Amino acid sequence: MEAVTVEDLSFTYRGAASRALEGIDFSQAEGEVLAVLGRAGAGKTTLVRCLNRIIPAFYPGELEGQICLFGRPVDHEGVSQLAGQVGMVFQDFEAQLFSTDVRQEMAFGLESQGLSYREMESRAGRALDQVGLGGELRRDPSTLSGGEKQRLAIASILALEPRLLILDEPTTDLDPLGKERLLQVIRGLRDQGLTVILITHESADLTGLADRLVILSEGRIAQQGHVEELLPQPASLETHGVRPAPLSHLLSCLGLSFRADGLQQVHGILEKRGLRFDPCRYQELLEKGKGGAYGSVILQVEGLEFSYPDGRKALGGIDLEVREGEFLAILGHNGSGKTTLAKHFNGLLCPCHGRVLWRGRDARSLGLAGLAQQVGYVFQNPDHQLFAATVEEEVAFGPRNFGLRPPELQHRVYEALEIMGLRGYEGRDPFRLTKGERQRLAVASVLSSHPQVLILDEPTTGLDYGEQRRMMDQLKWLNESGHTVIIITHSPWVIAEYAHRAVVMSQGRVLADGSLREVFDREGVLREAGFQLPAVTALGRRWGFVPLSLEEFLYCCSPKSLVDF
Amino acid sequence: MWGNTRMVVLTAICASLYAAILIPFKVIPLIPGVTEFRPANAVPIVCSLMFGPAAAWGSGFGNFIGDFFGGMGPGSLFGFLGNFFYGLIPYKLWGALSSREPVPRGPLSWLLLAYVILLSSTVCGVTIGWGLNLLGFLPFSVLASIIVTNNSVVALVLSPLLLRALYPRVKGSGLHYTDLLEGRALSAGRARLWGVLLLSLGAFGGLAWGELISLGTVKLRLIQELGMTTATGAFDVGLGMLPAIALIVLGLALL
Amino acid sequence: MAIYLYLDRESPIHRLHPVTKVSSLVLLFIAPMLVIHPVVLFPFLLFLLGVGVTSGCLTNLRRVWPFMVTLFTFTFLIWCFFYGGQREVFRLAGLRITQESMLFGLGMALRLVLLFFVGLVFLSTTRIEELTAGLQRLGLPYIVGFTLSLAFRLVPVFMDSALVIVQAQRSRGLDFGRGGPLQRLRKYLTVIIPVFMTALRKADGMAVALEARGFRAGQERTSCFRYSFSRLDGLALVAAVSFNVLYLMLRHWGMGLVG
Repeated sequence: MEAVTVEDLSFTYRGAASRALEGIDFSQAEGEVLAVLGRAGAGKTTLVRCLNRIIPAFYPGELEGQICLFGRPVDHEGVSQLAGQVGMVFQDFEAQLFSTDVRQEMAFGLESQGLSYREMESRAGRALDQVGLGGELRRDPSTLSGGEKQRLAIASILALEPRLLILDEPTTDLDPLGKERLLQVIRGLRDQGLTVILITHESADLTGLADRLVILSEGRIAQQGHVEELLPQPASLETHGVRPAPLSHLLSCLGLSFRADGLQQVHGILEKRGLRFDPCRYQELLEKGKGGAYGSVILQVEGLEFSYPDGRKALGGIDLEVREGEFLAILGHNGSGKTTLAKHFNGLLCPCHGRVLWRGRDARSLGLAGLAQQVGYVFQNPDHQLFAATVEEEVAFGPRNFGLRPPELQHRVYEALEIMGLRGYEGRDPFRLTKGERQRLAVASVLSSHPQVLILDEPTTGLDYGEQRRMMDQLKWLNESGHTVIIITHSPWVIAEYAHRAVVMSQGRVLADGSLREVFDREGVLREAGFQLPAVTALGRRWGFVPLSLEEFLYCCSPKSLVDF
Repeated sequence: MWGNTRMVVLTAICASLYAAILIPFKVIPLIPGVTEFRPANAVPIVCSLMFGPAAAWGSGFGNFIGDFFGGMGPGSLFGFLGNFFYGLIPYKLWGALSSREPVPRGPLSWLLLAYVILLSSTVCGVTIGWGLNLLGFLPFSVLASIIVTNNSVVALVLSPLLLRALYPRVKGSGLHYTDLLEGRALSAGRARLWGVLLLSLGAFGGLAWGELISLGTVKLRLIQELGMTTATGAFDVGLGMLPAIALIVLGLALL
Repeated sequence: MAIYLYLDRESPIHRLHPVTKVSSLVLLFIAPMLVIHPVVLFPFLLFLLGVGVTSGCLTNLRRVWPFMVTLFTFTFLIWCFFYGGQREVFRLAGLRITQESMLFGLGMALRLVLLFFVGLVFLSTTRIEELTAGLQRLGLPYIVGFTLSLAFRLVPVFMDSALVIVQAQRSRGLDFGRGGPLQRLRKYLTVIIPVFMTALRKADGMAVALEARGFRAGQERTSCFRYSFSRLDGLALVAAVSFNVLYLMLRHWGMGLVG
């Protein structure tokens, strides 16, 4: 039976000039996993919200077309009546947990359905087991990690025993480990026969998970079809703002198009077809990379130890040097001390032991005001710093605090906006910008103080692929024009394609520090830090080299050597 | 109000924002165990003008949560009530006096906002001062004036700026209470005017009257005859101020 | 961020029925209001200490004792000077301190500290959900109780984001310590506005998530809590009531007051 059929669905939000959805047609069979892809603002969330009647019940507007769930039209159903049938989980896990312990969180929806105590208990237990949180009934959700919170949110929905589960970008805010765990849970649910709709902009997550894809673009369906058919089309994915799955991308570049689930399998295929690694070309690559000579040591950390006021040790003896012009990535688990370390660089935190040196001078003598001007810090969530009424005021805030006055101030503001591609936004309200624009504004508002070092905490989280590229390209440009850039990130491909050097942290210590290729060659260390190599790099290592991008991989292997069957 | 999920969420948000800003300042007490310097007190005014009834309940709850961090006691009941009024009056009063947006632009809207702040602060101070004197904790004259001053100074400084920054955005995102609650008609013109009048009389009259009783300038013969005079003046203020409290409640009902 | 006083222990006090906890709280708030003589209030202090030891919540005293000492001293001094009375002990710059005023001050200080202590014991032994469950069984509508507990949950979330925002603005050169009081007050705007806006961004999402979980299904709600009354509840209520009865009787006989 068809679980979902949508016919000619269109929707316009009340007061909006254009349609958010137009002429959507698709269907999904029971037990299928359907992935909805597309760039930010393409209408993915709007589409799924129509399915459980949040639209138009909660967001009024003009809805046309027909939606049937499990053979029944939903036109006359209320959101609450559908809640038992259609479960929905959102990106922001903080905003969907309401209780002070896991037990109540699980019971919340069940109570409103009027279930008996015994029924609640068994359903809650079953759902928690399904997401791997069995036995955590007494925990306070605020003590859970992001990934656990998201799994709890899923469990609380599963307890309602929905026939259709909708996941709206559930992995976007998670670290790699949390994400992997969550995908595992979703795979488990699929194997149990649950019908799932998954919104994402990471097509790499979909191999071995989704059956069919719907790609949205500007409110319309750009493409739909089977995973095997659409995933190996990197070019078309990329035009719709979706990062192609690296392995499928690689295969299609090699002119091979078929479904390949994992590294092992792809390796096997290429081996069988006689893919040859060319050490000379790799050597060439290495030689070329050596060109980047850095300046003098700009930031230095000696024997740095730090404990929080409550006694938790965050950093235990760190030694590190950062040279002018470097592009450094700090990676590691959540809670490994990355952010704490970075906050020492601009004087937000002061070491308990050891010291931080800025161009050879003790940072203490500079104070926060002196150091922060040299070392700009962009916080993870742009909404945690934007407050002004206009973009221009926002960007002027920093330099004004540091004593700058017009016309120099004006000049700085325009310059920063120019660099971040925000000219023409001066009078706009920061609150109403898209997430990507807000993130760029946050960078601009730090850039305007002319810091020599720029630290960014998770600069690409929550952005779609196109925005991520844009952000990173701008950082690359800044780095090439003389800024030292330090990023804290979980995103393997961002590190691989942009950073020059990586520092791996775990439990408040530096596990590895070196050029990207050196660090990426130390599998044990990376595993300990919970870091997954980019798929292409991992594949290259099986032939004994460390490619940082698809292009490098292809360069070092001669595709012509492939044997045709 | 309780039937609208967004309003329920906004109530919780108002309460937690209020409490989250109150709590760090619990370490600077003005009167230990009773009140402290409260820069958070601009929040109920601003929230009220944006979220209406959600802010009234939110302020009451927020203050109650704040009480968990120093000073939960019998007085919390009056703290709840006083702050409930503090969040209830601004939007009702503004709605009764003006049909424009509560963002101060011209001198008239400045004046109006100042009056709204003064009146709400006074009702808050009178209610809590009365309640805590009734319980015998503190003389009305000390507490009421501290609350009125603290609330109105903080709100006068911060709320115009906050409103300018927040009001248009709230309105734009459709979370303004008039967009969420349909069919909330104001009372008839005349009743509204009476409401404003009675409320003002109850508040400012009550403040003056309470001060007089509490300082002993006015002695209530009834209390003396009943032999209910105590060192704390609990019954003098507690019973003597009932008319003022009644005026406030009546005024609010008419608004 | 752990900000609440609740201590997760297994004690007879922790196990009390929420209704018992809330009712005892109210009763124990009333009792010390009935008398003021420090000697009469003393047994109440012993009782509370006993409850404190049983529930293991005296560790929380470490967090609050400076506050309790200030409260005690401040109240004592205020009433020492302002109470009046006949038997003068000494005079200081026109202010008289009498035996009565000292006794009254001591009583009042003890009363306020006791009330604070009652609250402390309650907060250390009662989860937020027990508070709302108790209030709901005593007649508070479900939705109101839910809103209150949601607010409790959000406070640390917003406090955390406020802390991050303070750091973000300091890195942009904002010095919260500089300027006159009004200027400083205005600087808080750069924190309050982002906290507000992040909260607003969450508001819609939370409302949608609530709806999506069938928040208003219309059926009668059941509860995941199964509290039952035990003999301990009876005991607790009897203790709380008897303090009230005792103090009322003392009052009736003209004892327990000062002057």
